[in-house]
Formats: sequence, C-alpha cells, structure tokens
Amino acid sequence: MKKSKLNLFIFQTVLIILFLSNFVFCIKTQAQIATITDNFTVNSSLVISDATTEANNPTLNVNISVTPDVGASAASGSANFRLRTNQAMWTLTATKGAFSAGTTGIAQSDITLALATSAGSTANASAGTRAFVSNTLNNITTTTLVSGTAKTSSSRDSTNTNNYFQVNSTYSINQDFFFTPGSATVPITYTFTSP
Amino acid sequence: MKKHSLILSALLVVAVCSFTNIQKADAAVANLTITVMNGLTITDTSNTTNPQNVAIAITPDVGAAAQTGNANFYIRSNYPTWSLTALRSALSDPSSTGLALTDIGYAVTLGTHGTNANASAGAVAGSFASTTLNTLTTSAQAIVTGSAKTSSARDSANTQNFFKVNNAFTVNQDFFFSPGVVTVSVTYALTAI
Repeated sequence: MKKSKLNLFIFQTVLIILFLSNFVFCIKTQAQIATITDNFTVNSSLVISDATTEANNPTLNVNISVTPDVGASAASGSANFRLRTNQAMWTLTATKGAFSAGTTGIAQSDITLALATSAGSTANASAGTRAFVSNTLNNITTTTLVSGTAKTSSSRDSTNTNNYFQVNSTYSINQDFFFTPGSATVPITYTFTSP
Repeated sequence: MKKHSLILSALLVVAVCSFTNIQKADAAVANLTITVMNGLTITDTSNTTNPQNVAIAITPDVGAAAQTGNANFYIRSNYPTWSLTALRSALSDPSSTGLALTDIGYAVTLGTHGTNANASAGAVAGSFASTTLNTLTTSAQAIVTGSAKTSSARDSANTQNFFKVNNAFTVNQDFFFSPGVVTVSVTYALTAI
C-alpha cells in the first residue's frame, strides 16, 4: 500500500512537472523578439548660400555705379554669403578671375574688398576667424578669407534657418573724376572647403 | 547565452551614428561690375554750386582804373569732350546809367588748375579771351571747349582735380555813365559733347 502511494505520488509529480514544463514551453513559443538596428549616418556637408535668398552656390551680380562728384563718398556693393558646415575644420577662399577695365581707367588697386562676419542665433560666431579684413583687388589672387575651426552650429536648428555663419564682402571704389565712362568687370569665386 | 544577450542589448540600445569624412567643396561667384557714369560739375572756387554775385561799383574819376569783378569756376568732367557754355540775359534798365553791353569788358581765362588736373583739358573758345559782353548772346554758346577729362591723376576726394575758368567783367569809370544800377545775368552750363 505504501509502495502504491509512493508510486502514485511519483506519477503525479511527473505529471505536474510535465504540465509546468509544457506551460513554460508554451509561453516561450508565444514570445517573439524583434531587433531593429538603427544606423544614423551623418555625412559631411558644406553649404554656401546667398544671404538674401538662401539659394545654394549662388552667382551674385554686384553692380556699382560711379558718378563722379565733389564731396561724393565712395560707391560700394556687397556680396553676402551664409556658410553652414558640420565639419570641424573648414576654409572660405576667394579667387579673382580676369579683370577687365574697359574704357574706365580703373585699376585693380582702385577697388577695395572689405570683409565682415556675423552669425545666426543658433550659429557659433566663433566657428571661423577672419583671415582677411580689407585689401585692394591687386593684392588678391587666391586668398583665404575665413578659417574655420568648428562646425558652424551652436545648437539644434531643425530647419537650418538660423545656424548660418555669414560673411559679408563689400567692394568699394572712390567716385573719382579720373575714371572715364564705361564698365569694368571682374569675377570673384568664393570656395568653401573642408581640409 | 550571456554573449547573445549582450549583443542583443547592444543592438537594441545603441543607435550607431557613423561620421564619415567626405571632403566636399561648395562655391559661389560674385560678378563685380563697376559702371562709371558721366560726371560733370561746375562749382565756385569754394566747391559749392551757389550762384555768384558780381558787384562792380563805379566812381568816375580822372585817372581811375577800370573796375573789375570776377566769377571764377571750378570745372570737373570725366567726359573726354565737353563744353562750357554761357548765355546772358538782357541788360536791365540800361537807360538809367547809360551803360551798354559794349561798355562791359568780358574776358574768359584759364586759372591755376588743381594739382591733379589736366591743364590741357580745355581751351578758351572764339574771342572770349577778351571781348565785350555783347559778344555773349541770349543763346548758349561755348566759351571753353574741352578735349579731355579734367583729371590727370587719381584724386579720391576730388579736391585737386579742378579745371579753373575765370570770368572777368570790367567797366571803365567814365563820367559818361549816370548814377544808378544795372544788372545782367550770365548763365554757365557744363555739358558733355
């Protein structure tokens, strides 16, 4: 009798173990594991745009009209750009193209290029340092204007509207009677690169 | 099992952000065009454009020299050919003094030009180097003709690139003239040809 009870107990225990193991197995088989691997790749980017229209890689026409007069201040025109980069090191250079004086008598030494910088509200105003302040065009061939030592953003700006580092280049010339009527032209190419 | 868990955890927790260094360059172009316009100015010798009043007082006397008044101008032009013209009004009430236009000497001379001016830029026209006021008419006529711009060198402030034209009006202190006042206006215009 005792033996039969023992056997019954063993049998019941085995059944319980089997039941529980099956339960656990069922739980295991009902659980699914999903793995998502997110790869966010941030590429290097440098963008130069027109400070007025934000058009990328702009070609700006700077037209200066000189009407000689006594007491007239120098005439000037500007080409203003906005730089955006996530590169830690960058450079803005200017390269002067062919100068044509036409009939004006204007020399490259009569034209002054002056540089100023500013920054948007989410930009790092210290991202770049002016390597060039002011000079006449005869002293410019390929010249570094701004040396960048940090990305241009200082904080998040989801639409990239205020994270610009702005470079204003102003060309000026005296309204001298020495210059005869006509037109003088010269293209200046601004190149924004990361080393 | 542990290794598998670690890998899973790493994949679940870590979002991999890879920063790729791709060299890139962007460029912009500023096409600078400077257009020099025609500039012509005529001012007094103080570089102002106010009209000048020439007042000549005659007190007839024996041996008295003729009385002269001057209207001197600075001319600046970057145009290669230009003309300084003059026209006069009628003499006001000439009967009161007896003065006629032929009694008023008129001489156009070139003065001392600025140090950055071209002294050969213009020449006195016709007989205006020495004539009488009746030679001027009520229609504009050239008193100086310009054949070059007035500047010879750069002058950023335009202070020393003036071409000077002097106009002298002279009247003898003749007892023939009765006391009174007569006036005449002479208008000068600097134009490009």
